[in-house]
Amino acid sequence: MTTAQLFAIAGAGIVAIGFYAQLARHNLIRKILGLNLMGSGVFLILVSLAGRGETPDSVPQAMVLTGLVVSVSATALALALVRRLHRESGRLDWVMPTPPPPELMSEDEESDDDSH
Amino acid sequence: MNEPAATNLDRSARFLAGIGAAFLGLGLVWAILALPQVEVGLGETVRRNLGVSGVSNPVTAVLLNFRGYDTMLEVGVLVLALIGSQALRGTGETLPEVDRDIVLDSVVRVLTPPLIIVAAYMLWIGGTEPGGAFQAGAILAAGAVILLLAGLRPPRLWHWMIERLAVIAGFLVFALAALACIPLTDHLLGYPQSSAKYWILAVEGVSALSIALILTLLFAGHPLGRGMERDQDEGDR
Amino acid sequence: MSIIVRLFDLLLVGGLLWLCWQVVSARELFRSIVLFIVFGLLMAICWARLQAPDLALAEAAIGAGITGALFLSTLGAIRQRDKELSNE
Repeated sequence: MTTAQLFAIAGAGIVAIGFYAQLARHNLIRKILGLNLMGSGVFLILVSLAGRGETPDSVPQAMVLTGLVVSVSATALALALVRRLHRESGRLDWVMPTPPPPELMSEDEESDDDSH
Repeated sequence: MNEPAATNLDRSARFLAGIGAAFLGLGLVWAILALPQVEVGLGETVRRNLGVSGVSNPVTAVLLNFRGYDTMLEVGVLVLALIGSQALRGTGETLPEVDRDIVLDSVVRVLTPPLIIVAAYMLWIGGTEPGGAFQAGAILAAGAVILLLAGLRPPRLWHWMIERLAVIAGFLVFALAALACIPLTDHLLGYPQSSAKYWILAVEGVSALSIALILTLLFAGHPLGRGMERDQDEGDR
Repeated sequence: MSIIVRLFDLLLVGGLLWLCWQVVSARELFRSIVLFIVFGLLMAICWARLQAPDLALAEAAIGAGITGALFLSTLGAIRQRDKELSNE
């Protein structure tokens, strides 16, 4: 196995672990951490595959440099969303919204009918 | 911040997630191993054309000249992310008050000037050696974040209009340079070959400042310029 | 010589994957974030190893520095808010 392949396979492993965090973790901050890990894995694959020749290919390197800066701005935006969510609802995770119990529903409908 | 104990449903969901992630990883490994072991790409093209780019660091040449388009739009992405994150801030949310500490204060004061010099050096050296606008911007931003953490705030003169202008300056100068190239060379972002170095340096310099400011503001989470709060109050009345 | 380099690579890759798993599985969020910063620093070494010094510089400043600061400040703000909520 060449050095490029070794690092690329490590990148694949990092992508897989980051993907697992997306699926299996409820905490949104941890999901964002996982997203960053996935990004790092993709960058690692790109750059290590660019280094297969004698001198490394500079186009993927420049692309990844752009990607690093974009990923930090995306992270900042995502964290701002999480902060706002926590301010509004006091929670940090995403769960399936449960429908209100049936008695409540029917009462609401009745009151709606009254107003009409 | 500990998470609640896992339920049975959680455990089976995690198991399925693990299988999914393993498939993704194995698929990627297979794809990597299936790739040919020869150099395919644009590395050779970049090396051949390095002479006309005005710089000798191939990564800077790609970023600021051959694919300047990507970099210009990326600075735009940063501005958009900043607008988004500032729009999300709650009213009345300000930087937390920091207890000023004399040791921290003086360390930060000594540390900041060398950081600025390092950033400027990074920008200048980017033409020939590793370095460039992004690295310089990131180092400047790191310095500014340290200042904010130590409780130092921007000076009185730092009006919010200046701040907003500085935020879009990078994208603006990049876009103006791109347009200015059309009458000169008939190409968007096609710098004249003889003066390419100076075009790149000007665009990089302004971009580095904008990138540094945007990253700092993303960290701060709300505008730092003076005058903003008063305007808002008057608007409310 | 090449064996030492290979050993270094394996150590680097192993450390990277271990840290990555720890970031995802650590019980405490603070620990995850700090390990993520360490992960960023190891990534910077990786870039240097892959002959991409431009990336190493950017990763050390952006990936490890600013991203880490962003996560920590968010965690701080959220804990502050939690405290306010429990006081009310």
